Amino acid sequence: MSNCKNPIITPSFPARRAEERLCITNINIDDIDLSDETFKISSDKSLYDNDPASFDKSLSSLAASINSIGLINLPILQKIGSDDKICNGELEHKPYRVVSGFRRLAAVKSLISSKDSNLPNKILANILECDEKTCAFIAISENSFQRELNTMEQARGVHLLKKFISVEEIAGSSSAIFNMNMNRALINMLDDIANMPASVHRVVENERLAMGAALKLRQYGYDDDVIDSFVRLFSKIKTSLNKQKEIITNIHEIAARENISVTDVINAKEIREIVDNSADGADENRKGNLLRSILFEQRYPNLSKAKEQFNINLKLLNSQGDLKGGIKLEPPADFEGRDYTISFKFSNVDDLAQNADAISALSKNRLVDQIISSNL
Amino acid sequence: MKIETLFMDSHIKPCDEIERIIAATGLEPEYVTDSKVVYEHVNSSDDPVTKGKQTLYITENHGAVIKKCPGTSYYTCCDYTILHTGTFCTMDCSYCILQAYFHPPILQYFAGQDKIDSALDAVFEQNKTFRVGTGEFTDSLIWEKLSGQPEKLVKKFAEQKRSILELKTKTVNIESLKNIDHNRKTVVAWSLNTPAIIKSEERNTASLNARLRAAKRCEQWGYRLAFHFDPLVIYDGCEEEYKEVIKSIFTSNSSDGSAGINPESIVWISIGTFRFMPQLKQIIENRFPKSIIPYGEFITGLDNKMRYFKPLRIALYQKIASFIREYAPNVLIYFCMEDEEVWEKTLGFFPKRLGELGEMLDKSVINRCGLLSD
Repeated sequence: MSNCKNPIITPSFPARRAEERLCITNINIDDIDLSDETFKISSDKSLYDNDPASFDKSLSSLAASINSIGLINLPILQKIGSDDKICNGELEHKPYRVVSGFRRLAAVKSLISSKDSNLPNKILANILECDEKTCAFIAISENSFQRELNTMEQARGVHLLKKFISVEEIAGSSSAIFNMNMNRALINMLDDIANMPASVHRVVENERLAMGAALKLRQYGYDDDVIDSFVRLFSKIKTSLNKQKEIITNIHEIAARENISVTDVINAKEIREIVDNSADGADENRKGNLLRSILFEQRYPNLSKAKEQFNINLKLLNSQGDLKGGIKLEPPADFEGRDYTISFKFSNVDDLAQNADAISALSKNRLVDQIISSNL
Repeated sequence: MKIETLFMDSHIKPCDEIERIIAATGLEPEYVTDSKVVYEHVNSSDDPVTKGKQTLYITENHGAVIKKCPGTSYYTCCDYTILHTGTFCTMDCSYCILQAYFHPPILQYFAGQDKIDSALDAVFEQNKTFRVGTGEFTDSLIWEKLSGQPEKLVKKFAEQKRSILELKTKTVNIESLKNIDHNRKTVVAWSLNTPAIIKSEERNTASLNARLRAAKRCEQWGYRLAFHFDPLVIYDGCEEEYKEVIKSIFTSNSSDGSAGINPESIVWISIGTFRFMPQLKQIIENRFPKSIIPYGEFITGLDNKMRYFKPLRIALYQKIASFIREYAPNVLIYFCMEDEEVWEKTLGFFPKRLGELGEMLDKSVINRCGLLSD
């Protein structure tokens, strides 16, 4: 039975308070299995994929801080077994694994192993003796109540919790664990992301690929090689979520329609020339827009030609000085209707009269007549 | 598609027709007092559309039996009248709009011929020409072998002289239409497509040849016929394939020696390219992963439905119309839901006045089905 006077909100959360389970102990750092990342949800190193030097610098700063003022927050470790089982002169299992504090432990380890270190091989840590489910709750909460979790951290958290509780229970406990409300749809989406390949996790983490776009890749059921092709593509361009979805959709649909593979579309010469252009000034946003444009032309060839033709005619009108005073002529959307639009601005009656004259002249213009009667 | 679950409203009285349908499913009905049970059964599935096709609900029509065709904004409608005898379909066409139209889609059979008869009596009393069809929310003949409803409807329409019944189908379920005194007041209509589209997009439907053979038999039984090239699907080589389909309507079949259909038997041929509510796309992607029909060059139409880019529609329509004209220069061709530009550029005229298209179609059935005019 819990001794808890103030239980943490939901029935699915552990009945006992965390502090009642924690015991501060000085332990040998070699007794911690740092390779066990069962409870690791934080992004840390993967956020620095494109800049490993910055990651090393950030870790060095943390180590320097620990060296100077010590550990402010102790890492949390789970005691996972007896510490006296010895096999071939070594412990069969390291008796502790990390619940929270992966980065701090890495910093301490680097301090201890530095050449001029005279630090003992010991560290103070909070030791938990409890089940994995409780550790999972603590691992997530320890992060989520210090800072906002990014999408991949939420996804890893959800994926971890799903081993122990249902989606409905996660939804019910989300504010207590994730410090945010999650509905079932979001939880399922996050779990879908967590189940995608590590390459996708990296680009989602680096905000190269939005969650919605990653889910679009999942919706199409691509294998890992195809997903990796998309990951490489999005690693080289910058676009918003909706544009990413448009790119994925158009590539998928071009491939399906042409009965070729998605990677053939992505690896086509004209696409690679845009995406792989690393020349100075090859701005990633601009590359994204160029890619969208070329994919649109491939996906909608006739509509693209019609738009191009209209723009040629418009330029001709402009060059002839027929669209005076900022008069704009717009075609029907996608040339489906028959209603063209003319717009202009005026600030006084003289402006208005001049524009009216210009429009009157346009109504007698043969090119305008040609544009409207062909409706293209 | 095999029916796996049978629900029936508990207050429906058993009759021969209902018992035949129940027996044909081989299932014991689950009697319900509230349709929510049925909706929940279908909605709880990961694929409610397939579940809806596998779930037969024998119920009463609690809404209007006679409805005006909903049509669509901005495009010209033919002023059709719908006789609502059931919903959804046992066949499974990728492009079927009913997958997205009903929430949830459920295969419903409406019991109660009396209600239909009295609704029709009210129509017939109006002394106006009505073109009435049962094939808008379902296929007109999917229950023909069991229910006897088509036969009753044909006889009902045969008793009056101002309206016609159109039975629209992709089946060849016509046996019960034989030897009925239909008085030319029933038009039997087939939706046609190329063999390639039938094979890839129209699961569980009759083949093109089977449909045309059935049409020929109905013609021999004195019925007037109609054909609907809807949806026309644009793909490489489609024009030649549609040309072949049109040829096969009007020329003798070399494999079985049957003669072609006489253009005089045809009251109308409608043509319409594939168009769909945007939400249908994902349904097709999920249910028909090999289908590429949603990946044509679609734009958002004025009615917010996805339509082929207009010049592509016009180009195909022009071809189809000219192919039909080769064999049947006088048959009435019309568009289902197209605009003035398409009409003018394809058929050379546009029924601009409100109701004008409907009047054209009325005139055709007045002439060919012996209806009294208004």
